[in-house]
Amino acid sequence: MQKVLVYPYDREFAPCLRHRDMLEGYVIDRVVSPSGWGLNGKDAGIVDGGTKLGLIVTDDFSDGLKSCDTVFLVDSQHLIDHEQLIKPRIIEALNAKKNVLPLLPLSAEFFGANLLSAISQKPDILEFDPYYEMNKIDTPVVGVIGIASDADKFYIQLALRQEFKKLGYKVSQIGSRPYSELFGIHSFPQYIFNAPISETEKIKAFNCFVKAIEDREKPDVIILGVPGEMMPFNDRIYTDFGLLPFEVFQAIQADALVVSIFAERISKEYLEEINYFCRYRFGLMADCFNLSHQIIDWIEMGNRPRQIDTCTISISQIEEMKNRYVRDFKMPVFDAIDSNDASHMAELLIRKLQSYSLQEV
Amino acid sequence: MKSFILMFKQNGNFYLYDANRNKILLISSEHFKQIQGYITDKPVDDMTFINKLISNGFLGPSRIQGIEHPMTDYISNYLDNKLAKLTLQVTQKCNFRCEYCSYSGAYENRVHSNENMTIDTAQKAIDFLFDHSSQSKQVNIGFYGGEPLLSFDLIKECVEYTEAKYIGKDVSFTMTTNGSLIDRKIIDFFIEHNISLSISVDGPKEIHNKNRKLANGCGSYETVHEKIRLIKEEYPEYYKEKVTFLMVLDPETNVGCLNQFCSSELFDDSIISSSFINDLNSKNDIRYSEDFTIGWEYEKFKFYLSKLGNLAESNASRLLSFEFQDLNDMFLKFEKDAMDMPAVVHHGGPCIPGQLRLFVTTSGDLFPCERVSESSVSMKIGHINSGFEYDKAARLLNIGKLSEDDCKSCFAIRLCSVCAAHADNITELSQQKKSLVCNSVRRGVIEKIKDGCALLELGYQFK
Repeated sequence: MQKVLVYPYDREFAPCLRHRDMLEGYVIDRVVSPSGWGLNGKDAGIVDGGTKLGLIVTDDFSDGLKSCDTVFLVDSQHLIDHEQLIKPRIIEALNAKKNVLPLLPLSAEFFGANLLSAISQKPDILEFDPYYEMNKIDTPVVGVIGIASDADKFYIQLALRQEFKKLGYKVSQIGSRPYSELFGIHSFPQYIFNAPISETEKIKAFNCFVKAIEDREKPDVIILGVPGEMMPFNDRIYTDFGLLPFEVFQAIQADALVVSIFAERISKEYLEEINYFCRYRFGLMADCFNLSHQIIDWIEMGNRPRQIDTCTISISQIEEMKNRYVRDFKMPVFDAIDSNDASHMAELLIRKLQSYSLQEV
Repeated sequence: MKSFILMFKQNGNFYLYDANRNKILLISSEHFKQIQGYITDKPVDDMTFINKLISNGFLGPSRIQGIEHPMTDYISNYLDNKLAKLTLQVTQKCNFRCEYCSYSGAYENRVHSNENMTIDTAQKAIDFLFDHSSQSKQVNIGFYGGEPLLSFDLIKECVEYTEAKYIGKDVSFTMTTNGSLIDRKIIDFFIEHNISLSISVDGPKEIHNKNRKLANGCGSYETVHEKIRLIKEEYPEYYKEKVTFLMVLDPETNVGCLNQFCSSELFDDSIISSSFINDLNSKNDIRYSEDFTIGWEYEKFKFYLSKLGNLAESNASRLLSFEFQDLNDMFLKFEKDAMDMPAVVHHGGPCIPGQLRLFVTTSGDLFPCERVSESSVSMKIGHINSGFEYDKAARLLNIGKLSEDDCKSCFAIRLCSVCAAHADNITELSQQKKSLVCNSVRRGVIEKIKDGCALLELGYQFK
């Protein structure tokens, strides 16, 4: 097991830290943030409002480096000045003979090919010839999508993986983050994002990609975490208009669906609207909702209306919200950051998938 | 109350603003009369139009059952993690004696003193900011006084401390100054550390000197203008990018003169924001002369004409551009479908106290912003050593509770701009004081709606 220093840490990497026991071959030892991010001396769990993680964030990269073998350079919700925050740390780590694993996009133009070639590349991602016929996926598929690209989907994916495995199921998984391989999960193939092929071919290719995983791994269940947002947020924030989830669910018919939403004061009508949207856009309704630990920061969005800005709320506030607004809903609403709730979510999904199998018999 | 609306006539047109829908409808005189009858429980011959409105969600009663700000449950989340700006009162000393200044003696419990912030307090306040902004992508530190440049050495230390200790956050610095103490050494420091400057100027010599006086009683115009010219001539890029101006409008001023001043060579490319003399906690009534009111309305008229393309923009007063932006934003919101009015809601106006512009006094007390009196017991929300008093912040955020019954039936609930500062009488939050402001805000809202409708009548499109 390699001892890992995570840098620069904030909420973006928190799902991975919360499920760090699932990392394959790595143990996270140090968590470092730039001093200006206000996390120094605090438990790393503070960033997502969950329970304490037992790792204290420091701002001393050099000290943290001493006890580690590998540095995970991670993406962040803060704006990162690579020249100031990343490049010197890469050089420092390499000089100290440490491995550097970049989990964020680094530009060869900026860092120089020599520097980048000196650091480890992430594990190979499966790629397939994107010209096959559509295949039927026989294994039950659980889809995980989010109302926005940053709605805590990765927590759900890791929690479900953990819970399904705990229940003895063999899980294959395609994750919404580009470094999902760290957890034994496949990342989305790159041609989905940037290959010069038509959208139709991407759909076919993705179908083939999942089928190949199914054939090779022979899982009991496939978890499919879809990057990006399921729909435009408004007329200014639309990113890809929810195109990717649409294409993914054209490629793969999911059998169960989890939708992650922001923790606003939700109403029954709101959830019903989302459900109708899912039914007609993706071909199935949500089996349950996940409340992200984030409320929308409407004040900040008034100043900067071109990006979604949020404020993190705590596990107890989510619990209170569920008690206050969700108790009487028919649709189940969970909190994947809460391990008890994650178990309940997994149980519900398993029951749903088992009911399919009963009908088929 | 049968309906939650405002009705008015203007230029032969008839309008209805519905608070539930946050929309304005242009209606016929016949329909206007029908609605008047309907809301006063008089018989209406033809209910067709009224029924159509009702089926579209208009003319409903206020559904508001309680007044509570939707952010009440999240005050600590914001104050602990999302502070946006820290304003340091680096000194209470000032080398000016402006007639309208909050510290001039004309305001309750606020006078100039010789108190300075210590470096220890300043550093603790900066630490406090970073400790409470882990989720803010950017933060700003503002230097405020008295006259902050009287404590330039402290400001230097604060900037250098921040830059050395806090890496990785997008931090900006701003300063509000009377400009009189600026010199090349100071400007060089500002440029090196990317500090933005707001300089107070009130207009041409006669107007500026009327209120903005040096401690010896003489006018400050020559001194300040010499400094402004120095920046413009020797540091033109910095002047263009980082220097803005604040203009306090004296209600006895000749508004036309101000326009000429703003168009003068020194300010023609600059951002000038204006505000009226602060009447919060003023011991004296701020009276607006008839000439000023007529002049201001005339400038507004010219500004609207320029927006309609009937007058060259150069003839429109830039002092009105912020006010117009407000009007524009309000009418853009009318175009969108508003969220249903919740049963429990709060009027517009309050922000989470301290989150957007936390003010730290020389002694380390925390206040929601620099506009409130630092002598006010009710407005104090903590201290840098002991942290925030969340309950007090919640009371300030929920200032609408003081006038709960009025707010529930007030058509302007979505358009209101009243915050706790308007109800502060130094020792407590006063319902009576708030009610006075409510009336004036309602009048202002009606005026804005009418102005916007008049522009629409003349073919203007808000964008």
